[in-house]
Amino acid sequence: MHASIVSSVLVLSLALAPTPVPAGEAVPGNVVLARASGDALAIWDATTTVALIVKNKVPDAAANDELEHDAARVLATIAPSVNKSAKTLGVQVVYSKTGDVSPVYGSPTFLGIETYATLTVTMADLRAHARAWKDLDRKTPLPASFAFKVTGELPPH
Amino acid sequence: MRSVRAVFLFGLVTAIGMASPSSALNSSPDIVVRAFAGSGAAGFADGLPGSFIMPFGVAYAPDGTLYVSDAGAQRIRAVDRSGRVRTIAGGGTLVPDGLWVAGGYRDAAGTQARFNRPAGIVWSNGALYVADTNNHCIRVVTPSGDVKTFAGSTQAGTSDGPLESARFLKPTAMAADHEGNLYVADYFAIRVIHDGQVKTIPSLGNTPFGVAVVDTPAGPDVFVADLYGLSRRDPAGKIERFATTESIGTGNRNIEGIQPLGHPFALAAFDANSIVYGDVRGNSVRYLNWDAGAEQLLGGLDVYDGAATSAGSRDGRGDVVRWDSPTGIAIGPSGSIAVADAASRRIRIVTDLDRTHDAHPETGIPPASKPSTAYRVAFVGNSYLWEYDHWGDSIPGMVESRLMRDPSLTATKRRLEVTPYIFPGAPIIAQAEYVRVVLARTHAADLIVLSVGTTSLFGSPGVPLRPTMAQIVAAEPSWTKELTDGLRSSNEALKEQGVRFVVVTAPLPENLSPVESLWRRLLSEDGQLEPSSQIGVAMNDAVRSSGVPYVDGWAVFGSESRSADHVALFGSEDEHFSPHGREIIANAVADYLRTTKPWLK
Repeated sequence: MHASIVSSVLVLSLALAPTPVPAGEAVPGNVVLARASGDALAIWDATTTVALIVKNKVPDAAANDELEHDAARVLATIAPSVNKSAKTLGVQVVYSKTGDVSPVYGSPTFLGIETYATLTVTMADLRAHARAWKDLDRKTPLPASFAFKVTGELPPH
Repeated sequence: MRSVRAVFLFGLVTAIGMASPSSALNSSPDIVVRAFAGSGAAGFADGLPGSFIMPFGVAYAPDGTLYVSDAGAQRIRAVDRSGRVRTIAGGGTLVPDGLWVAGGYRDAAGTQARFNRPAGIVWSNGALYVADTNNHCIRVVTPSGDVKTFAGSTQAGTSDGPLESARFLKPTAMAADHEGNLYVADYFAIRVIHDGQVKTIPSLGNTPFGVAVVDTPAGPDVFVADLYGLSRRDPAGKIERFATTESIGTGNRNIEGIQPLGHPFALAAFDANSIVYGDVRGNSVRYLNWDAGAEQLLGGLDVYDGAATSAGSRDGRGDVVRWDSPTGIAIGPSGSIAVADAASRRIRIVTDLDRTHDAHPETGIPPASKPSTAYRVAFVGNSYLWEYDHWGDSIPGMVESRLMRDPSLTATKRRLEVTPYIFPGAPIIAQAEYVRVVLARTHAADLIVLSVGTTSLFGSPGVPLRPTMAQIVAAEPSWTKELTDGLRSSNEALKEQGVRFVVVTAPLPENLSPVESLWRRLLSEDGQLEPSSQIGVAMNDAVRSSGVPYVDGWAVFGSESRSADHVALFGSEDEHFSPHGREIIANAVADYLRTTKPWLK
């Protein structure tokens, strides 16, 4: 992404109230199961969560942790839709990028979709822990087996 | 149907709000309006069709009963599914001239209770809540008709606080969220009643008339109609506004810049992105896709003063429909829309509103689509190619109608399903990324048709958001590479999912003969008449290099522009296609698809 655009990236502010998502509440943002078998894959639109991170100026490490926790809850929620034959389930964390305000529309210009990270777990792990992960709060340490691979960037904040 | 336009301002600012005196917006041809309750004669007779004096607010209960506040008869009426009217609360006798019932105030059961201009109503927690305007308080009515004062008193005021001591000033409309919190359009502001307390929501509503609430995972979105237009407040408190013709200002969005909003009064929300509202001044009912800024009339005319020119009570389809002061709106369980048409003294129902072609806003992943056997085609792009007044006149709509009976398609026993994905002002690289990251992997379509026009280059590397042609030409090495790489990546991602991909390239008037859109070009600051056709060469080369098949709109338009029988391809005031321009592009796209038959592969 070009520096001139990165420097003016804003995040569409579909923000939550400035408190963490309580355990038991649905993680905001649409989730779509892109692949239901083999290495199954879901895509989670984390724009709302990322908007909060930017708004609250959450440091990168803590932001990463928040997104990983929420991604685990997304996995647990979508697990029942995955084929029994699937070996792993990943959730890709994406968000909408916005840039300068359009002189025509008076609203931030859409600049594409950032793929921030992917959390992948084995189906065996998921079956064993889905119930716990569904209500995971952000203070609970995550299992060592989690593989949260960050491939993108968060907006400047 | 809906109008999705992008007004690109090259130097000369088009006069905002300067609609022609006649309708700038045509009514959706598909909607049907019929009278549901009320004979039209002034009165408060129960029965079928019953009568009203001034039906003002409407609200559906979960069992499908429609409740009506009759502000002229000082009564709350219930209308069952057959249209039979029954008074459940309120009373009083007609004044000597027979035109209305004098108001009063009494908490009591049924017809012993008294109201004084009951206006907005809402169903919540098993009861009706009524904005009793001239009594300056909120009343609660049980389904059996018991009436109590819920908040405020007959003493007018604006103070917040506990229910009994809070004060209201002419409350007009009401809404509720799923937690039972009530929202009141009070004279100066929106007030929320939560947990026994009344609080004013700051900076929301300036003489508000209407309020609607949509529950989202993040909290309630609140829509407000007020003297200056429409507002939407998200759960974090961010407020976005559309301004009416009279009050254009910085920070407000105008629908297209030249599309008047009318004078929103009552409103109801389908979801966080789409609302329907009544315009009491212009006498129209309108549907708005908020994020796309796309509006359509549901009957009535797009005029300033409807009472003088177009008010009436005419049922029927599309353009023939007339309204007479639509003060209350509610959305029924099946998506039909109930309207309290106050001056016609009827409750009227709108059906057949086509929301299947609503443009998807640029807010990330659309919800997972239901399994479908349809052959799904997504038209992706900025509003330049895919904009529409009526779906049938739009390029995607015309392509749909030209292909839906193609023998090779019908032989597959799959119906054609066309959906626009519109990204106003977004550069093509962003759109290509959306195709690659979202559409490819969410199986949203079987075929994607992506528009790549000169306007798609705005905001691309080296190109400002509002560039001159010279700036686009100067940045050519940057955007051509990004365009090729972006399209190639998207194509690869789509191929992996078995999704077909085709691009449609298109010029601006500036890129064609000097005679195209001549009026606007003569007035533009850079006075550019010399065509910048090299942009088209570079664009088509870049698309070709990506390996994505494409329909060369430049060649199609160039041929038309040179024709001895020239017919305008663009408008005079802006560079959007004329009906003829849309038609020739639609024909070119349809011909391409008929020839390549992607549904067979």
